[in-house]
Amino acid sequence: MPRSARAPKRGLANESREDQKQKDVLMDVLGQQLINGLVMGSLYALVALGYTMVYGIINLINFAHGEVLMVGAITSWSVMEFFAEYTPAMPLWVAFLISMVLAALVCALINVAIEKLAYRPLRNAPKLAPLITAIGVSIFLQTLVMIIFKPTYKSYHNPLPSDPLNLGPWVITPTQITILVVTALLLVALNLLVNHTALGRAMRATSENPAMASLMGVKVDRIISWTFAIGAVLAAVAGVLWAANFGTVHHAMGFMPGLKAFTAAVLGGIGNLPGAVLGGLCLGLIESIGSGYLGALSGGVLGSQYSDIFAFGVLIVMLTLRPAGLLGERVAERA
Amino acid sequence: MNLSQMNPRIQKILFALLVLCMPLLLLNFGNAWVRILDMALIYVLLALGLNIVVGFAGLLDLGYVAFFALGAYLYALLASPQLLDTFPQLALYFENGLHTPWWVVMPLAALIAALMGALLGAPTLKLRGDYLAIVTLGFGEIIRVFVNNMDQPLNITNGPKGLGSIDPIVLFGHPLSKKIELFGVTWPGVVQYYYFFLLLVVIFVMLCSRLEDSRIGRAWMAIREDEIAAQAMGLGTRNLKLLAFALGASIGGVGGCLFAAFQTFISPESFGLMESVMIVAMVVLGGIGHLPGVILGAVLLASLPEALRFVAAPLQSILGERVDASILRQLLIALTMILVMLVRPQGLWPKSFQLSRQNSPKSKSAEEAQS
Amino acid sequence: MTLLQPLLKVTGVGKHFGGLHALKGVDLTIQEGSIHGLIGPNGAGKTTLFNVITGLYRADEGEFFFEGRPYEPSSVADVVKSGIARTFQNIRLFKNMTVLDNVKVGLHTQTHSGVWGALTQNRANRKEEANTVLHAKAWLEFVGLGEHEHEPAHSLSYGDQRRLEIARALATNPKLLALDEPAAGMNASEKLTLKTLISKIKTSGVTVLLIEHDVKLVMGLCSSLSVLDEGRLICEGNPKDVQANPKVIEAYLGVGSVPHVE
Repeated sequence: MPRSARAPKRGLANESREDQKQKDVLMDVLGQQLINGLVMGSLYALVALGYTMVYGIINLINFAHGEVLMVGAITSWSVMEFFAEYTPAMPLWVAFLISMVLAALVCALINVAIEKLAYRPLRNAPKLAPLITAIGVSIFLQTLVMIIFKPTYKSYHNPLPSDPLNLGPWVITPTQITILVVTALLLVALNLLVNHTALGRAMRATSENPAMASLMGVKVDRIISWTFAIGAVLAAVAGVLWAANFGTVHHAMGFMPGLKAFTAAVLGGIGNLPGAVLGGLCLGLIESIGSGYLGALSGGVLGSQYSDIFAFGVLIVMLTLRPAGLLGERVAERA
Repeated sequence: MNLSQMNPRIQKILFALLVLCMPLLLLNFGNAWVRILDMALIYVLLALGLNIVVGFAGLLDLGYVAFFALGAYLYALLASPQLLDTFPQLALYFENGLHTPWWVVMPLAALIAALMGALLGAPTLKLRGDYLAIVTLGFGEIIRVFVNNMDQPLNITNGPKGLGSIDPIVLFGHPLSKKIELFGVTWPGVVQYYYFFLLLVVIFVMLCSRLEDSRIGRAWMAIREDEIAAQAMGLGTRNLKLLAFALGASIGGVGGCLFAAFQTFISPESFGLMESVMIVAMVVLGGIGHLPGVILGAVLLASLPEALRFVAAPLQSILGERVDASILRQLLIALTMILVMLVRPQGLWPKSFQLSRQNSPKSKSAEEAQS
Repeated sequence: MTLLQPLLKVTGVGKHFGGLHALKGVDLTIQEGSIHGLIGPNGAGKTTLFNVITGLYRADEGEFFFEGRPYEPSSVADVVKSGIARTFQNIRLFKNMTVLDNVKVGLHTQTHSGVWGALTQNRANRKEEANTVLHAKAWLEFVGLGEHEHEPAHSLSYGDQRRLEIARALATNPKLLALDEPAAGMNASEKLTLKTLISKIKTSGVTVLLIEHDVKLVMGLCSSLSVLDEGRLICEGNPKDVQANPKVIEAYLGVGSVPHVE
């Protein structure tokens, strides 16, 4: 109804209703971004755990970790394609689960192999050497996958139903729910492993003091391999879930998530396991909320294409102002 | 005739002759081969610049391509129709179009790149090696994202479509991209560019060599070897690192200008992480800090994949279209970085005494005595 | 500056790391032209005090005076400008640089040539470079490493590496040279050479502060000693008195080793 036709009185009741509507819209957007942020954050957390565990135990940033996610996704895709072609009768979700297990296995083996071949020989070399090797491994994996699987974008058949569920004004897909649930389960399992098993004890001891741990009978090299394996499993699962969520896999899909997960690990305090989870969730939320409002805040100048920069921005700010991260101790500064 | 036993003076003269005649020899196989050589020279320049940061000062910069991009886009914007298309009001001042000469843009690019280098280096000063690498990588990516998206709201970089119609290098009114008749011979554009780039490379090699053997060069190397000891000798490590970033970046900017002029078309694709990594690989492969090694590394990594492409035709037919020059180059870079670090971390052509480092019995027993 | 004013005087130095008090109320006085030893059992806080004086750590409490003036280095590099140079317990040489270049870096703070000079190789730059070479060579001769000029630092023997580190520190033209366990890992003849060198340094007018565990070396070289134990100064004086001090003996051999005459 045009304003002029209406009674000119603007009472308190009218005002608050309009404001309330604006607030509702904001809340809806915020709520939705929260959900999206937590989902992405869970994926980041899974990969960040791998970075932080390896760093905690051998003081090395496994630059190739993002590619592990990619290898997990593409292994799962190949397995699913294989089943689709040779056993079309198999229900999709069974194929999905099998592919996830196989992906985890393959990634664990690859990560352990990388450690043995590319990092172990350089344990006493200057710090830059394993980093350069790691970069080389990362590129090598990408290129290998590119050659074997061709550099095309392949579509991933998500076995989960695609109809989103409505939670009031918000929307969540079954895949997103799956991500949250699987992440929670994995975190519980990891916590059990690290805090209530002999292996976990050995891992914690080695990350605190490798020399002492080996004197106590811990086979340090084996524990390191186990750490790489467990980190790889988490990344592989994250990769499969990522593929299911976004519907595509390709050889370069691991680079950005890897970098962002690393940022998450630094954000939480590198070397700190709960920190990695916290960092992952925080980064997911920052990214989601930030890119959601970026267009509005910048008056349309900056769009969501700039959302990738959030992670880098967070990384740079963190390392400049608080290298220890949210939960960690000072490690990033010069030794 | 044993090459290595020849008088070093004669060795140098032969080498110089080879370098001067190279394009003419390769011309017999086609222009494309000389093009490869021209690009290799640009990469040699970039490797020299990065060598100041990584080789002399020991700072692992994974975002070096940002300065390359800066120089390229600056030249492209000042010597192509792009700016005038976006800002038609400016066209009134430039009736013949915007054709800033290279000798104006290049120093400008060097200066702006130097400032940017110092700016990007500033937050990294207190970070240790691996964190420094990731942060510089982040900066490089940020630049790439900006370049890729600066086509809205104002079309500055034309985004992923890239910028074309860039002016070539013009020397005394003659564009180097056009054939020229001199001394009764026709010199194609690519050959002219070769000698132009060669001249610049020689100048920069001389400058870098002077830097290496100077008070500043020694200071950088001291930081690289042991920063705390360097500080204990009174070195202002903060400013020295910023200086390294700035100087290295400025050479990157110059390289960018040359690249834009040579290709006459640039797009954000050429300025990604792979480029940064490749230039690092060139420095590492050649021999960190050792100029001849760095040049060798650059020439090898820049030209080998292209050369392999011609030779690998049978390979290509086996693997289908999966293998092309860029994939081969990536593979080569990856293998280089892994194998060099594992087998010969000093690089292909290190300073002579670095070779004995790992086998010197004296150093071994000294290290044992200390621990 | 009067004869009585000490070169270095620090009082009430305190430094703690979290809950651990590494130093508590430590005083240290070094007279110009002396060789002053800093000794004490392991973990006494000698290296901590050393690092505080040479700017590696910031003290939590304490007053510092160097040459009679208040001394508050804000960075490690500042310390050198004030006139204090140091060596390290774990020999921190520039391994992949030549012996001569290592010493040239020591001359960095006394030279000024920058990028412009380096690129243009103008007369001022060339003159300074020539001077640098002369001075560096002179320092190498002083410590007895003259023939090893162009060898890489990592190829020197252990004892020679120590001497190179000393030459590099001396090149900064310090008034106080602080040596952190210079005799560690040396055999008897190397220690003798070191002793001669340190005496030579003192004769040339540089005051020396020395952390050392070798009692014989310390007693033979030092004109004064400070003894630390558990972060506290327990004794300061000339070697003879310190040697006989019961508290010192207790600190090294344990409580109860000296009958108390209270």
